[in-house]
Amino acid sequence: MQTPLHCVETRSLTFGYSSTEPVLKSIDLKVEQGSIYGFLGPNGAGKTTTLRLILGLLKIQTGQVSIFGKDLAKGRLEILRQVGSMIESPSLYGHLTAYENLALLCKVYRCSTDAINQALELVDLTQTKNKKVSQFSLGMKQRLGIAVALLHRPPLLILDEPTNGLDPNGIIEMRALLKKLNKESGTTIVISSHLLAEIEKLVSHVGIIHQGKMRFQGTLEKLQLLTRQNNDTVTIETDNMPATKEIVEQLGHRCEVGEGYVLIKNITKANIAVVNASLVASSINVYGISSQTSYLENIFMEIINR
Amino acid sequence: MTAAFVGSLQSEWIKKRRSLAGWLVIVGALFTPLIIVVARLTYQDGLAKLYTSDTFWRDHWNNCWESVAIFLLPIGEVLAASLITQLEYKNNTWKQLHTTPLHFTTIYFSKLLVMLAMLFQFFFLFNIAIFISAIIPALVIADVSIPTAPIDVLFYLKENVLYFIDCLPIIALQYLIALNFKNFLVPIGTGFLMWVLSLATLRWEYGYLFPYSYTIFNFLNEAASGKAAIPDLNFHLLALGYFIGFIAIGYALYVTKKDKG
Repeated sequence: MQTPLHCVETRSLTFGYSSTEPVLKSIDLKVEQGSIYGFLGPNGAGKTTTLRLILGLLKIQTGQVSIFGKDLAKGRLEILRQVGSMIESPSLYGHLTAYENLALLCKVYRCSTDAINQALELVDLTQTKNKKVSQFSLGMKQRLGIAVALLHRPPLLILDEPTNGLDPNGIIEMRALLKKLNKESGTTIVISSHLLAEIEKLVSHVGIIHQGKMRFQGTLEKLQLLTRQNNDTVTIETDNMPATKEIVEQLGHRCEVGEGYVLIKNITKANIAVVNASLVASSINVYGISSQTSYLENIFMEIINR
Repeated sequence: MTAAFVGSLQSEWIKKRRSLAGWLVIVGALFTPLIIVVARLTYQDGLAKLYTSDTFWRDHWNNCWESVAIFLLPIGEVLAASLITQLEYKNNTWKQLHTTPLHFTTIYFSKLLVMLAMLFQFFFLFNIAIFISAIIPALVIADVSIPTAPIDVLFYLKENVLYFIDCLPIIALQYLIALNFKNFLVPIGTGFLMWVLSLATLRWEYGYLFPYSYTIFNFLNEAASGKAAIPDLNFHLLALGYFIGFIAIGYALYVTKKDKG
């Protein structure tokens, strides 16, 4: 079997802002070429610090970062020529227009002026290209930030929470744009988020970080498989929650009462039928039995709470 | 490297468009000549005599430079150098700039060169404004004739070069401070304090040690000797020395910064 080529790879990356507890603890991140890698973790988990180290914005203390197989410490400029990024909020000059913001980067990347118009078109900002960025809404700024990252058509995009400030429609459009870039141009995309639900429809690979440690890394299928193994959590809606809880517990299952439902963990399909039959036999009206809709979100929570 | 530097320079030049620092250069260069024109149009007594004087251009030059050399130029430089550098902090763009394929050396020196170009722009506009402000009253007021005194071009060129050199330490130190402090008040406050100290120590024998005093020394040396303790040593060379020193320290601090955005 051929070993997949890693576009981004960190080895034992450890970093601390002070001499006390490190923020990152031996992070081994591996992003396959051509993948869309969702880098997940709650706020403060170490996502942005990892991405800043990968981009050379922070000095590496321990470990190594390599991009396209080259050591970042040795080939920084060569690497950065092939990377587009947006870290946290978009970096834009408020006193300049959208066009000027791209034009000044065009001088640095030595790309044609056509690239500016194409980037603006991609993010649907052509009509407002001569408007000052300070007059832009947060969503427009976010889109222009993506245009900045895409301007020189890099083979690797690193985006830190790019959907912040976007409305639902904007999120869908951004997802479609990134998918298109990945599919048509083979762009490898690293996208961080604190919400799995937000990017689960986009990513092919997932890395989950919590408290500076990598808790999971692999394909989305691998995560889903892990989910299926644990996919025995169901919610039951009835007309009598206390009685439902009592019956479920009498049958030997752990459960929790939520708002309008009872949540049962670690239950097999056969036992679901038994619970249902017992409830009906006790004259309790069962309105619905369902496995949890955002099951990936649960496994994410489980992973970070381990 | 050269192409990257030119690209970086062009990029930095775009950034100053419509910025406060960009406007400051234009307003600063036109302010004093405009005031002189207004004053001469308002108070016309003795103007006819002044305009026929053999020393008209030298007197007009000194009139224009007085407030500029002592106040407007040092304070303007403090503001412009700080504002240009703070553009990156204000817009949170250091992280974007530092992820472009540019050497830190390229970024540092292209920013510096833009500041020097803005200073040159100021001198260019100011010289034109000095000339025009001399001509306007003669064109507007009937009994005032166009000055016929000779213009010693070489003298004015030399003075421009010396003033330019005297400005360099202010730019370098303001750049150094503004690069290292996110808070805009730090470079502005330090610059203002240094200027006040320079004024306060003008008559002190070691007053020349303050790097913000050289434009004042140059003006007083030429126009009003005796008002300051002009050092015997060549303070223009001292200005160059300070400039090189501050630039070197600023560069070392910038490239070794652990957090780049």
